[in-house]
Amino acid sequence: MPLLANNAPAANLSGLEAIQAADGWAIAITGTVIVFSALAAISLFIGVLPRLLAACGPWLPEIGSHHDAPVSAASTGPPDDRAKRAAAAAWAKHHDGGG
Amino acid sequence: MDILFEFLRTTGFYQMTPGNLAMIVIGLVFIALAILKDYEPLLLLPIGFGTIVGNIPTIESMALGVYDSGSVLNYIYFGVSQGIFPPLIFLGIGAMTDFSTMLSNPKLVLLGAAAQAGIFLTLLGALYIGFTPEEAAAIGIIGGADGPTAIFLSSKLAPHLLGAIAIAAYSYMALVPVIQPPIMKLLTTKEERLIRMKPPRAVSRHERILFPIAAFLICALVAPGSLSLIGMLFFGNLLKESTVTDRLANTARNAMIDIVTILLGFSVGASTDAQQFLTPQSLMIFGLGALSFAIATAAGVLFAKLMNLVLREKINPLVGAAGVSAVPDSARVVQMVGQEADPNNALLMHAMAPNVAGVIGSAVAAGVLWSVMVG
Repeated sequence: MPLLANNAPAANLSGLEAIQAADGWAIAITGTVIVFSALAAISLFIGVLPRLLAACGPWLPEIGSHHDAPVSAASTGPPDDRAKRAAAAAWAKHHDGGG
Repeated sequence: MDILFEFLRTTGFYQMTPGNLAMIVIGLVFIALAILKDYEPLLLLPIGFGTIVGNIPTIESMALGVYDSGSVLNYIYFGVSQGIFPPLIFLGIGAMTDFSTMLSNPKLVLLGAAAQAGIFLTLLGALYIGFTPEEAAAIGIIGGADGPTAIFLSSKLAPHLLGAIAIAAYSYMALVPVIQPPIMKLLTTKEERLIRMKPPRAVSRHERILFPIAAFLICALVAPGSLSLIGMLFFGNLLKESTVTDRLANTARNAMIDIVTILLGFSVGASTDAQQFLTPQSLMIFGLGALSFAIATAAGVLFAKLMNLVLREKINPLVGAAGVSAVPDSARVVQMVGQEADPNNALLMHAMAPNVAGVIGSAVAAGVLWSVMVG
């Protein structure tokens, strides 16, 4: 059995004729131009964005990050302390309940 | 005794063809490259093992292989053949990508566009040697150096070539550190490789949040064919940058992308059954894929040199090579080649800008080609 199976569909055209027939040149040029235009538009937007934000500054809402949010008092202290406190509270509750 | 002989005829040893054996060796090479050379191990290892699994001969009456309707592998492969996995991978990529360097230096986005020239020139090459327009478009996208995009487009335009295109795309992505440096050195002078670039500026949260929304609108309106890839990419990025959906962003960039990568890599590997895969077409696809990568790298570098003719603050042209969207490998290669010329020159952060722009560019190119071919 040959290593390479020969199940390639018969290609009707090849060479420059094939490129011509498939509008290859037009697809390649149009495609390149579209990709370039999309990324150029993004580049332009990124370039304008800081000025746009500066101009809209007074109307822009403050965006608080969840990462920057102050940590609640209940969760302060090292994790070990918190675990100890939780264990103590659980023990006290259990004890009060007379269980 | 008859039963024993009958059984022996069904074993893999009896039915093994030279093609299956060759593919199993290729699978072993992939696994070796992943483990010994650390070349894209997250992809090459699943693909390599999948290749071995896909080339164990099975009994025709039993639904076991990827192409056997109703088999387990067929169900997993459904995500590949219907183009479901690539957008999910893009969601994870979006959730892990930091666009800050790109936002701080927008002109570097153009390098990501220039590198996409490889896609369209390879399309011409594929047409030249006799592939149909749909096949040529699917082969050309290998030059985008973006595995999920290559799989997505070939599943839509040339499903019969999907295995060869996916393997070629991922193989060349793994070989970025081997393919790119000679081209980069050939096209640049020592002085150009020594160019230092200004450190990127700090980017505000408003910019990082508005960018994925605006960039999605621009890309999707220009090329609606890229909607699912680009939509998931920027949705993932918004999950990350909004910081109010940390749990979702974490799942997208960790657990989900890992699960999809396993399923995609394994099932693509398993689809390389020798009878389907070892064809003269596959060899041509590998040749065109290498050409595509080389053109993309060269186009990025040459465009950076062209930009330097008009820019006051010069760009190190090596950065252009990162326009091929093999994230972050091609950016790392830029850093490596740059540091050979000047060990104190940090180019990695600058290279990440064209690198992520390349991801956007290749997805837009895929959308354009899909629209043109089916439109």
